[in-house]
Amino acid sequence: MFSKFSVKTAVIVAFVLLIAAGTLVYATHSWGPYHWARTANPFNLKLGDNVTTAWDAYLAEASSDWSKSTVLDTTVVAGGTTARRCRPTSGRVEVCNYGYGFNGWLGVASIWVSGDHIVKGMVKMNDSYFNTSTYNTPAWRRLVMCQEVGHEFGLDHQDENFYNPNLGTCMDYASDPDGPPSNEHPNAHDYDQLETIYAHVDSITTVSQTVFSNGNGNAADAAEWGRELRKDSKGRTSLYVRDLGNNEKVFTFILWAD
Amino acid sequence: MMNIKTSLILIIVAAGIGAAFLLLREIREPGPAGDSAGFIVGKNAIYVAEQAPSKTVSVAVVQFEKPGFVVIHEEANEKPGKILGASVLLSKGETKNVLVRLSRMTADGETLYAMLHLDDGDRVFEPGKDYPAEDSLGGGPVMTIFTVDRDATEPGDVKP
Repeated sequence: MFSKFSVKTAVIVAFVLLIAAGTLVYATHSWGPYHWARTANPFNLKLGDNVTTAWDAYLAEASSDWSKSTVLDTTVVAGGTTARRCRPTSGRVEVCNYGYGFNGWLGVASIWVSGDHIVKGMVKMNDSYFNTSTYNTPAWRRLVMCQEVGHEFGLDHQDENFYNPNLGTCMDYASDPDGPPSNEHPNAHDYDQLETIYAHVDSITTVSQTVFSNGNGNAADAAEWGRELRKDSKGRTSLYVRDLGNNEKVFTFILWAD
Repeated sequence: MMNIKTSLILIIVAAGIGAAFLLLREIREPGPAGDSAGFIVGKNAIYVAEQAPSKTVSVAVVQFEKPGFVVIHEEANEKPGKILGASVLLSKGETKNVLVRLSRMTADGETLYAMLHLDDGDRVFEPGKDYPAEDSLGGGPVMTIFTVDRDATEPGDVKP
């Protein structure tokens, strides 16, 4: 029933399939199923600037790097929190730096999710370490800012070994960030992964769309946004939901400028 | 015939390894409990997000070089003060979503500290025996500062 040839062939095919499957799985580096809900590409995600001047250039550079993606753009806007507390704002990402203490981490990215959809995000850069001679270098600052902002789109790491050769992407751990190759910027594989994550469109959006100049929203617009869901600390409605039926909803996040 | 049997066993073993590999990867990747070592630069590390007032503190992620405890302190003169509670003994490596019970309810606006203490081997937390883990760069205890706010919502996931 089993000829010597067919058994050999079967073994080879099994190993090839095994290696191929492993390669395919490791080729993806999405952060679980998480993504920003939006109705079209490219979408524009606001990065709240709560960083000091020492970090401004790195935030601008990370924003520029990631905006090269075909599916998203980022815009650095005025921050919506304080650096020490670094609280998130619905529909966008707040980026902060502060001396958060010698707690073992250089940078942290947090996301708040509703199902698979990211609804707000926060990045913290830890100056306790970046103020030491070990980490106070452009390469380290560039790598960590790029990576933490990259997480906010739903990207995970490409590699988590600090001591193997650099992959040439900021989504790779490194002990020598400027390499070569340099791990200070995204690479083509990151942009490909973003295209995969955002290949579909959603019927709702969790990305902040609107900034108002005062606390009195247009009543006609508000009627379109649907039911009030949440008020801000000043009693102004900050989140509306409109039920489209068929279990589809539109969430509208409002950022009221003072 | 023996060769065929051996080959079949090899195929089954290979398929089993492959399935386990894929399954483990699948578990590791999608969930909020996914792996993260990120930009953790020390052997010991901790991250605690802003907390809502409660009789517990939720530690997002902690990493120990050897078994230890997460200890929550009140703030006193902008430094860690009285101990409010300690976690159960945590094993070496990374642990996510650790719940620490406190001796009292935390208050809106309060600042707290979460400090890492290494177990002296008896598996029971005793402040005078289980000394704080030291950060190799900072020289002091590995700890993080966090605030209590009634509007706080914990993140769905954190990548240090």
